[in-house]
This record gives sequence, C-alpha cells and structure tokens, in this order.
Amino acid sequence: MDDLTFRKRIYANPHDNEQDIVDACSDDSTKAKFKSDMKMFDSQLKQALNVKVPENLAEKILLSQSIDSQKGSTKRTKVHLAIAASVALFVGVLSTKFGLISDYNTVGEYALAHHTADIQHAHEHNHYNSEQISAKLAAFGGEVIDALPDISFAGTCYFARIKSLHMVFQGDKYPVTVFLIPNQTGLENSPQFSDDEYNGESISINDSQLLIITHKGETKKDWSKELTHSIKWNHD
Amino acid sequence: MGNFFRRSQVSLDMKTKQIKYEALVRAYSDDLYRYGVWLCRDPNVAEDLVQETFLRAWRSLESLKDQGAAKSWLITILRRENARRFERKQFDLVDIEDSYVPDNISVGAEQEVENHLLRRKIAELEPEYREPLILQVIGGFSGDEISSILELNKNTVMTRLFRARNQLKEVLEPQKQQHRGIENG
Repeated sequence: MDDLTFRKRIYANPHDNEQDIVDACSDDSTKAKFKSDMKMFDSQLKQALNVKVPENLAEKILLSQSIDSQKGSTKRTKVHLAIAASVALFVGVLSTKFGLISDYNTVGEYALAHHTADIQHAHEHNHYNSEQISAKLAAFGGEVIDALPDISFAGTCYFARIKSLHMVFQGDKYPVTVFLIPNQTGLENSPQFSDDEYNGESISINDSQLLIITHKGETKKDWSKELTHSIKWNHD
Repeated sequence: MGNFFRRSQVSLDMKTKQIKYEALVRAYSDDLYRYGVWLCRDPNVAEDLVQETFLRAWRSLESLKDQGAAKSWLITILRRENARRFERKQFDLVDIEDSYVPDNISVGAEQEVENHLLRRKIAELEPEYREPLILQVIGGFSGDEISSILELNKNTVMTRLFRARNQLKEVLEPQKQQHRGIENG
C-alpha cells in the first residue's frame, strides 16, 4: 500500500484493522509507528471530547418520562390521543417559549404531580453530610447551620423546566419531599395545597420558595419551622 | 374474563416497555449528552435536547425493532430535535456557536492544557468535519453507521474524518514544537 493511501486511511480511522492495513504495518515499521502514534492521538482526542455530564441525568430523564406518561395515561381512545398529541405540541411550543409547563396551573399542582411521579423513581437511600447539602443549597443562598433530619435524596431537578433542588427527608413515618424553587416559575403560587394523601405548603425565602410535602399520616411535626431554623438564608 | 387478560397483557407490555426504556436511558444518556454538547455547544441546550430525545424515544419505542441499533436511533432523534431548534432560533444562537468551548472531566494539569487547546480546536472545526469525528470517537460508530446517520456516502464520511484529524494535528504540531523549544532552552 502506498504511503499516502495508508496515511489517509489511518487519519480517517486509527483503529482500522482491515487485513491490508495489518499487512502494511507488519511490512513497514514506519507505518506501524504512524498507526500507533495516531491511536495515541485518538485517545487524547477522546479524553478532550469527554465532557462532564450533569449529575443524575438519567434520573431526571426517567422522571420527565414518568410525569409525561401520567399526563397521558387517562387518555384512552385514539381520538383522545390525537387531541393529547396536539395539546402536547401546543404545550411544547408554549413551554419552549415561556419556560413553563402549562398543564399545571399552580405550583402546588405541579409539585404534587412531580412528587407522585418521583415516588416510583427516586427511591434512593443516600447519606449526605451537611457540607454536601450546603453546597447544593448555596445556589439558592442557603447554608446548613443546625442538624437537619436525615436526607435520603438530594439533587437538581427540573421543576416546570426550571432548575431546582429536590430533597427527600426521612420523616417519622413517611418520607417528606421538599422542593427549593425560584419564586418565578410561571405558575401561580400556592401557599397551601393537598390531594387525597398529601399536604403541601410553600414558604417564601428571598427569591426562592420552599415547598414541603408531607403525608397526611405523618406526625404533626412542624417541618417548615424545622427547615427554616436549620438552614440560614443569606439575603442578597 | 377476556377483558381481564387483555388488561394484564397491556400492563405487562407496559412493564416491559418501561424496563427497556430505563435500560436505554441508563446506557446511552451520558454519551447522548456529550454528543449534544459538541453538536450545539451549549450545555443547557444539550440537556434539554437529551430530555426531548428520550421523551420522543419513549413515545415511539415500539418502532425500535433492533436493540443493536438503539444508539444510532437515539442519535438520529437528537439530530432531528436539534434541527428543529435551529429552525426556530437560528439567529439567537450565533453568539454561543462562536464562543463556547465545553468543559471536561479534570485530568492532570499538563494534560489539561493540551486538552483545552484540543477542545478549542475541535470547537472551531467546521460542523461538517466535527460531527462525524464526534460520532466516531464518542459514539464508537463505524464509517458505515456514520454514513447512514448523516445520510452521506461512506467515502465522503471517510474524507471528512481524514480532514478533521488532519486539521487538528496541524494546529497541535506547532504547539508541540514550541514546547520542545522551551524545554531545550
């Protein structure tokens, strides 16, 4: 194989192991070295291309799908599906335009839907120390100053397509879900909200709001008091 | 009775679909994100693209017959989503396109300098050269697979891959010479 063809082939694919390439390398040590140099360059290239992936990306994707499916699960007939598809498209356009999901009118409705969807997926049993939680809270101007109840999950989540912090605390009987979201979500704020099983409340802190969702069977602990005492909120 | 069986069949199918989907997300979301970042050069947009891609994948999972082709199927969906985004917002994106260089996983300091230089050069490559290179290096796709994803003939793909590496090598070589000079002096 002539030198130019060989180089072209190796530049296009340093891992080319076709018989003619293998033969060319065993006949000519310069070619073998060229191929090995290019393979090294390629591993450097791979490292350079290897960008950081956001934390919990797979979980976030699974959660979005879960919320999406729940919205669709009540639609049974093809006609309904067709309508749902057009609504979804319309909502999609709106969401892209305004950065919100308008299937839900209030923060409370969305929080409960997100929470219900999350029950299936984010059943994690992690342990976090207060530095780790402080680091996550820092983006919202929060800092842990007193012992918090045990946290089994804390991670960034998309709340109506806005980056937010999602935490699950261990309650006495049931997990307690907390969302830390910006005040401006494009949804109507809801100080109190509930469904058949859960109660929710929202507390405003600086430019953010803390949503706390507790099971109706959970003891009457004052979670909002506990959280606002254990976390110091820095004013801008 | 018939209804009951039909219903349990449906829920079984749903469960199978869910398992299949979760496996896809866990196996490919990272690579899809990396590909997205290099394609649109904006990490936030890339994340949204990956989200949209998987939502679409969920809705048409039945059309994926060959599991072995899952990755190229997902890449094709992501490229289509990206093209849609371009149609919508072509003009807003010019600034990002010109300036953004993705950040990567940290390695040793010296390696990091070279990596940064390399990333900048990759970001500066013409998209028609950059894309097949990303597909080959990150995606691990063969020339034939890349040609089918990009809808180009294989010779064109191989020529572009050759030119992409050639350009990167050319810009890096003078740097190496310079480094050597400093070391010798």
